[in-house]
Amino acid sequence: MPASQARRRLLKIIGVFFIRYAFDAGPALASATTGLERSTFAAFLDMLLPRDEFSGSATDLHVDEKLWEVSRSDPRFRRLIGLGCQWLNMTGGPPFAALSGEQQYALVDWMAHSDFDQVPRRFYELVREAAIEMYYSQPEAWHGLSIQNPPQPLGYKPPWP
Amino acid sequence: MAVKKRFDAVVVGAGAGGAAAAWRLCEQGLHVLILEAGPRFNPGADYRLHRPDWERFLFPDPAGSRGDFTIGTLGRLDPADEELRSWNRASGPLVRGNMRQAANPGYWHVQGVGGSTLHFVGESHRMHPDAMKLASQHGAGCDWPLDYAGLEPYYTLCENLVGVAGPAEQGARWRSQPYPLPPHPPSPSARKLLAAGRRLNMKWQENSRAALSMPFDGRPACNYCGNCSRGCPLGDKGSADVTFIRKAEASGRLTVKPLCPVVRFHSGAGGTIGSVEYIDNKKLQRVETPILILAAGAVQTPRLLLANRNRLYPEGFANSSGQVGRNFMETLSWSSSGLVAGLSHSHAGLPADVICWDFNAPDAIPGVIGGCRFNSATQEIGFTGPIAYASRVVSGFGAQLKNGVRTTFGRVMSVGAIGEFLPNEGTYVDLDPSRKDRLGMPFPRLHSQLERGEIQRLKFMASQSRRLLKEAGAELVEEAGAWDNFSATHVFGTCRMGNNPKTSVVDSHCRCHDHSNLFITDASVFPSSGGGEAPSLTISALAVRTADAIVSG
Ligand SMILES: Cc1cc2nc3c(=O)[nH]c(=O)nc-3n(C[C@H](O)[C@H](O)[C@H](O)COP(=O)(O)OP(=O)(O)OC[C@H]3O[C@@H](n4cnc5c(N)ncnc54)[C@H](O)[C@@H]3O)c2cc1C
Ligand code: SF4
Repeated sequence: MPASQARRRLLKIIGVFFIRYAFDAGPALASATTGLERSTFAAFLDMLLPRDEFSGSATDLHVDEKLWEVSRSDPRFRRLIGLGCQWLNMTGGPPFAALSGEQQYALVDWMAHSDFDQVPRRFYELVREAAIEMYYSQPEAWHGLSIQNPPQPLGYKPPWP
Repeated sequence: MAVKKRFDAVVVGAGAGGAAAAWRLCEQGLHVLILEAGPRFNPGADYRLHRPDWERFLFPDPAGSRGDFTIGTLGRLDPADEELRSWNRASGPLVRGNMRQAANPGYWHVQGVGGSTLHFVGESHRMHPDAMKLASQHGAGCDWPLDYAGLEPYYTLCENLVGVAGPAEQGARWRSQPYPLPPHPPSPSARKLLAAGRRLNMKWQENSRAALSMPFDGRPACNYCGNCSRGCPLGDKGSADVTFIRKAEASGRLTVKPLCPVVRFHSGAGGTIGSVEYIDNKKLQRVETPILILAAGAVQTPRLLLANRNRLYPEGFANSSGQVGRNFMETLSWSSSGLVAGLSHSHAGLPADVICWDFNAPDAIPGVIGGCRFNSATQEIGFTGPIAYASRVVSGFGAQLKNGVRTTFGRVMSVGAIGEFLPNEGTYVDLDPSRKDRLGMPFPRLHSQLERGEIQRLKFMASQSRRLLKEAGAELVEEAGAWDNFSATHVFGTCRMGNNPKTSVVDSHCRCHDHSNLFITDASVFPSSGGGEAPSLTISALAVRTADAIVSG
């Protein structure tokens, strides 16, 4: 997958976050992905971008795989996913992926409104941004929008509605 | 490629200024070498607009296509001006805290054959005649050592070469000839803006654009894909590669050497520059230069001059005035975006296709010297695909996010504004004392601070933009501006032009006061920024005028 400028920017933001809040990015460097992490992250992404009558969910469009691939080239992103998944599984009950839709929604909604400078919110914001980029760069996600093709080679010639 | 030992002229940089100067010299029979730091792009292969993931990429950035620079002081944010904070509906404030920040990367530019015009949108403007007489007419800033009438024939020449499309009526910018091409049809979002502007008694019109409204000179017409700043794969956008460089190469007298950054100047006889050194494939090469045209842009040009110090020129070349790097002017910009009921397909059409010049004259904004202009900005600021909507317009997650993208896509209308930037003491380019490239040359460092006048102008730009959106019935979703974000696309002034060698670096023909065979033909020479005019046409017109002066001795 070619490196995008948006991705580089994202990784930079993650780096700044870790440096600023003195989180240790190192230990995650060599750690392999666990099954629990994979299922947690997949469920989180599908909560962000669920399947509906127009288009598939984040995992239907392989956004999880694409983001794991990004994390392989950047230990800090890997670390952020690890911390985020850990937090999602800290309810004391079943893992995040096994919670009901309403329970998952409530947790993610809490994250979305939590302190901007703490891990849950940063995880939510940065993963949301990356997931959106991966998801909406696929034509399968465009059903229901007034765009069918990339800008070229046809352009969008007049007459316009 | 083996390079001849001697050319009639060597040009450093193949952007708006370097390419235009080289073209004119070749046309007049001179053999010219362009040394260009960046690569040569292949529009059909390198620009990604045909890919479904095009929106993830801005202009491509292969190795060598961005210049070195660091960011110095940008100033503090005064809470009294909080109304100017950048924000959007999805993320809230875009800059948190009280320090002005560089919006990644801060200074937008391209190193490559075509320079920053490869990335540019293609607005093609002439300066307001009064903007060239700021000091004498308004007691602020600096006068140009030439006037509009002196530049007019060169504007016409460049417009005809580039293929500018625009309407006949241009107010204070009188024209000796019509544009070579008719104006473009206003896009869906521009039509809403025209209607709102009309109701507010503002005079909006089609913008003059370096994009082809009809096939011209072997290049095809624009197909309104809306993504000019990501690189135009058709070649209808009038970037310097497909216009000046193509024409100059057709003369058989131009040699272009991409990926060959110039690093050193050597003195010649009688205060001239005798030769320059550049890197080619990791090797240092030297070429003699009877005439040297420096056109590396308003950041790299002062860097080269300041970094090249020797016993004769301890303050750097061309710098007896101490003005090299001073008088830097950045882009004073604002945009307001809103969702408009009944609007659709606002991603389609040519960016910046309509404009309002009502407040562009230096005395047009009440209470402050220096003007501004307004334009349609929807496509220009990136509302061209679903990623922009999902990350800037729609907040939240889940069904709400996906429905939100579907109900808002194609409905954003944006008003943009660019205003005058007056030089100030805190705004300059110097050499970074701690960052050097691998050859030991210090990075240029950009400092820029907004003075009270700039803040006042920004407030006016913001209030008018909001007024227009309100009139169009828009629901505000994003605002962004130069108050908290340093995000410069137009940069000027670091080797200012003037008659007095004590206060300027080059004369009215862009010849350095200190070195008789050194000419500067990029945006560094602008004594003032104008009231929001896009600069490339003026840069090219000045460069062609300089080439004519060189040839006529
Ligand atoms: C996103 C964007 C949108 C814009 N939109 C518009 C617009 O609509 N209309 C408009 O008029 N302007 C626009 N501009 C601004 C315009 O592109 C610049 O003002 C213009 O290109 C500047 O011309 P220049 O000759 O000064 O420098 P450049 O065009 O930047 O050219 C300088 C050249 O010098 C080369 N160089 C630098 N250092 C060295 C070295 N050491 N050795 C050899 N070569 C070197 C660089 O690689 C570069 O190619 C836009 C710019 C951007 C980034
Ligand atoms: S809108 Fe026109 S000029 Fe701009 S990139 Fe598309 S085809 Fe080229």
